[in-house]
Amino acid sequence: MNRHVPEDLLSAFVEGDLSDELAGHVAEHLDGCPRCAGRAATLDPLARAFARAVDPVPSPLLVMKVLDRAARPEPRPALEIAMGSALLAAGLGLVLLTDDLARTSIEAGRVLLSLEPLTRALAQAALGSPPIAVVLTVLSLVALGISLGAASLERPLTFASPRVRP
Amino acid sequence: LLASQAQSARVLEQALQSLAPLYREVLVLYHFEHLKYVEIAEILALPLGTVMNRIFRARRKLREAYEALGGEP
Repeated sequence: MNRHVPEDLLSAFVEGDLSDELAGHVAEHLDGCPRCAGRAATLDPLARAFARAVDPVPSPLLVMKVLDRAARPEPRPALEIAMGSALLAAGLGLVLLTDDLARTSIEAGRVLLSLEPLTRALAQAALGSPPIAVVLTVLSLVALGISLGAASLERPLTFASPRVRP
Repeated sequence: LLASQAQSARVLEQALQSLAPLYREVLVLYHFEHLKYVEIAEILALPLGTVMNRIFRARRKLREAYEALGGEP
């Protein structure tokens, strides 16, 4: 059935007045023809009821709440600003304590190196578990940051190689 | 208007619940899951003509139940 379904045949189909065989042919056509399927849907006495049920209407209370919320100004993210400022201040404080940071960083590096077998085992575990992988990635970035910080402060390294005066 | 539409959807749901599972099943698959008639026949492993017969019976029973519950057309 390549042509569109005539109106009277479609009406009979919707009313269930066709033989099973003919109804099957019409159904096959409707499956592949959105236009005829749409026409059939409008002939269905319960079409509007189905449309309302499939596309549920939000309750008036919910609509009022959403409109009320949209009318209010966006609150300022005070907590985020405070935490960001605190982190920035802590970072600045660490940078000012350069010598101590360099020492701490190198010690941290040594500890990380000694933990190499453990990190290798964790990496194996991470291959099978995305959450562990995320945690390890964050830890790695932190370690990288510490290492870079240490490298940039390494210039004199007076505590590691004391100069011998002639 | 919004309230009456929500009410109408509730009545339709009640009417659907009152149908035998055999009839409710085909209507849900077609009207809510948006399956094609041929797909429903495949899922139920029945000839398409038999499925169409069941759908027509189901629609008729649903209409009766919907009107009996006072649903608006």
